[in-house]
Amino acid sequence: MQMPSEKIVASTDLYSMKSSTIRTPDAEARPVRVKAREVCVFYGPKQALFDVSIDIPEKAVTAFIGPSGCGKSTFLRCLNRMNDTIEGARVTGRIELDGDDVYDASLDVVELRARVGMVFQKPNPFPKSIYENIAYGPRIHGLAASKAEMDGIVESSLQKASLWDEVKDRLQEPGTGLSGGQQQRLCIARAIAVSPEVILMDEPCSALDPIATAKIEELIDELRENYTIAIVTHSMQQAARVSQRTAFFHLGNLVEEGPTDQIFTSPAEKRTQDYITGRFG
Amino acid sequence: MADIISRPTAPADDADAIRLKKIKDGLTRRHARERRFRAYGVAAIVAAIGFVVILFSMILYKGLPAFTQAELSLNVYFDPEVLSADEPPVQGEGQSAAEYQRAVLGWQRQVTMLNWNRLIEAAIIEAAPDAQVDTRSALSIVETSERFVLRDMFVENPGLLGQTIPVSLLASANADNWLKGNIDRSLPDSQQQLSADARALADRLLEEGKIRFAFAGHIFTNVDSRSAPASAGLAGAFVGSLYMMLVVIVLAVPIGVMSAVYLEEFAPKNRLTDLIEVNINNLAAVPSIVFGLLGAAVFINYFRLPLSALAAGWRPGSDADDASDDHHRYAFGPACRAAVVATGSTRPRCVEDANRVPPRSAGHLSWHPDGHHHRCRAGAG
Amino acid sequence: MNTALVAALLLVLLGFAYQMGWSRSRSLVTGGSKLHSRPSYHGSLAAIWALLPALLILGLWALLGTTATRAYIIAQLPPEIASLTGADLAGAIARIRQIETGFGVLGETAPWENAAAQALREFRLLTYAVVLAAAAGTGALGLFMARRRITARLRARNEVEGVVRVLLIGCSVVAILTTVGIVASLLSEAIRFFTFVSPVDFFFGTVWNPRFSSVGSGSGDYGLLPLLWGTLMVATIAMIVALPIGLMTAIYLSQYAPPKVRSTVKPIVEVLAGIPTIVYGFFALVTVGPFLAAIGNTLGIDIRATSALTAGVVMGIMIIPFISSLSDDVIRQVPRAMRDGSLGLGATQSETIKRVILPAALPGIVGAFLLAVSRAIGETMIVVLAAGNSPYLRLNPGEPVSTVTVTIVNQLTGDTDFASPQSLVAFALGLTLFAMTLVLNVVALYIVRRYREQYE
Repeated sequence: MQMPSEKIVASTDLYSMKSSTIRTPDAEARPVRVKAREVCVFYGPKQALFDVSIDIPEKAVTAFIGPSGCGKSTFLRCLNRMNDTIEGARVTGRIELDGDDVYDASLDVVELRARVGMVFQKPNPFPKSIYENIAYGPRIHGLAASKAEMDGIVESSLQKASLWDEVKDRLQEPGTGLSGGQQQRLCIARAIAVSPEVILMDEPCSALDPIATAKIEELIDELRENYTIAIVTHSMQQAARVSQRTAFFHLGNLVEEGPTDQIFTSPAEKRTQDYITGRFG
Repeated sequence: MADIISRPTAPADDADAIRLKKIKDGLTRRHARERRFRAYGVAAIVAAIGFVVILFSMILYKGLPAFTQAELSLNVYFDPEVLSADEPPVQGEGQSAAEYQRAVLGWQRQVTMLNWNRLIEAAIIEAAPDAQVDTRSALSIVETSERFVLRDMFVENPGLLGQTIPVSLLASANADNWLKGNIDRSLPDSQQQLSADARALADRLLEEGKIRFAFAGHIFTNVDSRSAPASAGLAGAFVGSLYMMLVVIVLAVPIGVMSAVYLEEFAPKNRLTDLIEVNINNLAAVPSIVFGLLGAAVFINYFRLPLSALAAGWRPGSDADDASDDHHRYAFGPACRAAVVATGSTRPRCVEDANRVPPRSAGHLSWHPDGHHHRCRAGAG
Repeated sequence: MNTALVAALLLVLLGFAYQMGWSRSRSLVTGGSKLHSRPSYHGSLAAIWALLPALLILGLWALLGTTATRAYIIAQLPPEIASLTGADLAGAIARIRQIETGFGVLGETAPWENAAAQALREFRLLTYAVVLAAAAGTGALGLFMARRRITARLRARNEVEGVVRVLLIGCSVVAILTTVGIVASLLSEAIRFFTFVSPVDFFFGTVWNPRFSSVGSGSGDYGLLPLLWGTLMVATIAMIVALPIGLMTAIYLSQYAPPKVRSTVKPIVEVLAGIPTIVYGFFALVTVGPFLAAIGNTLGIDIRATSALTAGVVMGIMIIPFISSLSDDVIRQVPRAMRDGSLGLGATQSETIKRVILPAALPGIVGAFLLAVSRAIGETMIVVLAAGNSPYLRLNPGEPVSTVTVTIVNQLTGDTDFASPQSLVAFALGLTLFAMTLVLNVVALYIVRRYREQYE
């Protein structure tokens, strides 16, 4: 991610752009939903994350930025224990969701993932109909007692993901037939259908064109009113546009974390400064 | 940072609490189902490995005893009274090869007609002097073909006449099975192959160490035999299989590898090459018996031979005549070729990443029909 | 003809031609011109030019020589001997060959025999010389032509590659020729069969009784249905055994097992695929058959030691690795993102497998299944040994049955005349078998291909 030098000037414009799009007053007073303390991750003998401590506030968007391989995705995947599915991955430290230890044996990972939903880098709808894609989560968790209730969940999830108007007439068509942006919104709707408290997004726009990206960003902004969102992005503009708080990762360390405007205008660390001005990437 | 940290809160409202309860209620059942599913998987693997183990232990259990056979150690006296034959012929001046051959055959026929069994009989009685057995019973524990072993010794060296030589002779198949415990000892005499005297004699000789179980090397050197089953061997079958392998390697491997190389590296992607590929995949899956029929049809129509000759071809290695060899060659080549092509055609695909290294034919020798899909990953390329 | 000598001569020719092409093109370089192709290509091209015509002539002689010699011997025989047929003629020819080699024969040799042997000796010498001379001559001519063609601008590399390409294409076309050969031979013999028995009686007849005693006549019943029924019954039992075990093995190994277990278990299971089918047949006959019969005995069910059940179970064991490794491939092709998506929603692993991975992999699994069925239908040795060979329409799998493949073997291994319907029916059966497996294979390959494209 080498940023061309002429973009440095543009990055100062980011601030004004961001302040114009912020709609909620501020995220400062929000209660903390997810709390991480001294989290380390190892892949076999290799350590990927070093003592990360951070608080993620409720009903706000927290962005994780940093160059490729800095550990931001790794950290995100700790929050719903998706690292468990990787062979040889080991997590130490403490992560709490509403005060419950995420890595405690008594907390079921199935339950955890129902409470902490996830949206992936590439849209990954199941090879099923649009309806079945949404109904998948509620069905496995036994959330809907009747067909009518399920219909209700599907409709409200699609509406929350602002996809309903586009697909309401073709719910039985395969989800893989949608466009990339629609597929990603379908995946967001699929995550919403389980009504998670926290939604994790792992570079959700990296595979999409600018128009689709804009739509997703708009959607994220809307979802903030009801959900706690953590988003990994390699685009600083995106972080500036959608997030209230930003955490900067570098080489497996959490370098700096704070309100987004503060990170982008007056970062405390030199490394943050260098990154946001495009000196390395 | 400090200003944003406040007390963690409980799930926001009732809807959340109800939802969580629903999820928690289902967990026990879902985890039980997970464990069951896993157990099925383990059971399937245990079953598959169990089959391998059972199959191999059965093969070893049934097959290993066949490699040892009961053998009698006897002192055979080449009695001049029994062995009364002419001197062996010598090739004279002006005698054609064919005529000399005839004289030798005549002498050998004469020698063969001698009563070699008398020598064996005498040797057995010498080994167990006090046993009350008639000659039939005594002879029944020795394989019928063993008299020709004595004959061959004599033909080889006529000077044996009048000498006593220690000789190892194969026990008959019946005696062998009796001593190995393959025959139910409680069966009445009427259902036994050997007489009571012969059984007692065999047991006694085993006890005295005059019968022992020895490695049966003749399995690899003798051909099959109906009249003397204990002396039968697999040499004919081995040679037949070896020829088949050679022919297949010579025919199938080069053609298979070359067409695979062509299809993967050179061929344009058009309908013809598509057809060839589908064709090859098909050939690999055509049952071997259909190739056999192809062989039969070609063989009969081209060589115009009667069916009995064809029948010989169906029993691998039974007769080592050229006809049956030809038959296998025709029938077997194409089947294996298809398999080799299928093996080969997946390989270069794997190799493409590795800088398009040309496939090495050595790797293809380890082919197995239908194994191509996994060879691809397993092979070193 | 002395093969070793000829081979040595060809090698010498090859080496010489290559060397000639190489050094001549080299000399052009020292002469100051820039070669289009490297000297080694010029060498190869020269070798091709020299060797190809010589090989062609030798090959032609190898193909026709025996027939020509035989025809020549017959031409030398007196008319009353030459008009003999079969073994008598073959005997006379063999005698002449024996005399010619100098080994001698039993009995007196007739003057015409000696004359024929003498003529044969001369004929042999002559043809040997002519063929060798022709091969050497064309080789030399080719060499000469190749030498004249060598210039700096000669596109030797392209020409060599062209020849190699033709060779490779030829090898590929062999596959098509084989298929054509199968279809043609099966079809022509089957049509001969249908002149004895009407296709309707064959395809829809319910009685199979070819009556070997009345060889030559068309009498006897040739109903395919009992055989087809037996084939399907054995194949169905095999699939009932193989599918769950094979599929669950594949699922466990690809989704649950740690790499260590996977790399140990997979080869062990695949050992089953490498065992010759005759060993399975033996296994069925000696171990499984009596075992099933004993189980049936204790349960009070009549199960015969050689039955559809025995053959089917053992065939199922044989097919397990086939299904497991094909399904394993297919399952592993389902993108990881799909799995993560499901796990990320809180699905357990088994839910993910059952609801997402298997449905996604279904086309591939169906393809694997069809390929396995086609294998089961075509399997011969196990059923020959363990199915009991009893061609009747029976519902009970504990009873012996007969299959299409077994019957083909039976019909051709008798001592019947090849032109009788008793033998020819084997080809009609073979054609049926070929058509069945072809359809299954084509459908399966089509499905698998479509599936691959979907995820590539």
